Amino acid sequence: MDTQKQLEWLTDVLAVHGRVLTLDDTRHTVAEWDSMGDLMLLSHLEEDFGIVVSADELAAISSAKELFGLLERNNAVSAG
Amino acid sequence: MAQVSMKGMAVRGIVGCIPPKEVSNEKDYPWFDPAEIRKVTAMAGIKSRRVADDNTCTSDLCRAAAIRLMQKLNWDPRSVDGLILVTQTPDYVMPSTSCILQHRLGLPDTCAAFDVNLGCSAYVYGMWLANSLLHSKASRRILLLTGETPSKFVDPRDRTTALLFGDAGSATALEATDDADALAHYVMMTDGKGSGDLIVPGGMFRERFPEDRSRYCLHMEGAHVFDFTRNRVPPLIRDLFALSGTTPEDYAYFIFHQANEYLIKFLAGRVGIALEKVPLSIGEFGNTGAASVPLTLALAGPPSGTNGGPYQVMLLGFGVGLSWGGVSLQLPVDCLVDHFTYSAE
Repeated sequence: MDTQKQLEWLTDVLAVHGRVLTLDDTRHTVAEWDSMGDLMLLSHLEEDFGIVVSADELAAISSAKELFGLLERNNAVSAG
Repeated sequence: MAQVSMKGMAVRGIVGCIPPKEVSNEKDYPWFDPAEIRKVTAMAGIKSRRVADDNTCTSDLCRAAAIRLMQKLNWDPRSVDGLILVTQTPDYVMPSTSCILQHRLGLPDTCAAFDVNLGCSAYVYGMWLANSLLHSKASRRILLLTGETPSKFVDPRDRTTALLFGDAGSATALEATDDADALAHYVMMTDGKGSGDLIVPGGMFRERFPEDRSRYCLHMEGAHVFDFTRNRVPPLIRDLFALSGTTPEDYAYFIFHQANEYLIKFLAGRVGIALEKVPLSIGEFGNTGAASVPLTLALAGPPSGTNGGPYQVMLLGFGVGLSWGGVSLQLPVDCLVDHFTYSAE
């Protein structure tokens, strides 16, 4: 999964409308990345990539770039 | 760990009661983005819910369920000597709503009546408590009432909670028995370090009259609750299998607390439970808190293919507290399971 696909995936999971997220986006720039957003991410990380992270581990991730780093560390590049 | 196998209790009937007003997540929340609603609906599996009107409390729904239950079982209210109400939406801070219900149901003054403050695990804890009282012969007939009106403490503009919860009540008739086959297996657990993950912080005595009105509404750390459920419920189910000496194949139903359809299916898969044994009510009624387990069982009705014999069920509650527990027991095929729509008198 290339970066553009990852960004489209994150945009879809967080139900952001009107734009596609960029690598510069963080929890602070995306209103939808709140506790509900984390809940959606937890379920989609597991469902889409088989990646299980705890809520606390996810909470420590503050940007799109860090999240994609997690995907890549877990070899999720081709899973999507 | 609170694990126990107990004799002495027969389940005579279970009745669920839902209010008539239906709300649609898709149509009734125009202030949320439709894509966002579709996302939540897809994961949590909740399309609609029932909400009580301003004049209807948990006690009204439970009372109606109890009246229907006693009528259908031909139970004389004066024969009931125990009333347990498990809810987080009582009528008042004091007195106990169970005392009000004892009077409103026409139960005798020789009836022990008390409230228990639990939500998602309410039904399992209530049954465990009732079984203890019946086993010890402290009571002969108990009405276990569980219900919730979360629509009254949820902020309709809070996207983390607004689309999830529905109102409902239930009543279960439990009776002492000497039947040696009436054996129920319980596992009960608590982890209060997650108490802030589902909380209504204001309005009681820690925060009596907070100025911020949102403090009177439910706050939920959804990711933490998701994490808790994913980590804690599979071991609970395995403990119940071990304690009862059963396997998934022995069961007609696994009734999960209706918190999230995705999670329920995930949990079932994790422990090898076939989805056709997992009834769901969340799609139509949402998360009905303390009522979710008995309501789901009442909606499912008796399973087919019992050949007149009893059927094995596992009932699982998990959430606010954090509190979780399960019970594995047999229900007789003639156990009343019924549901209906509430109508104010």
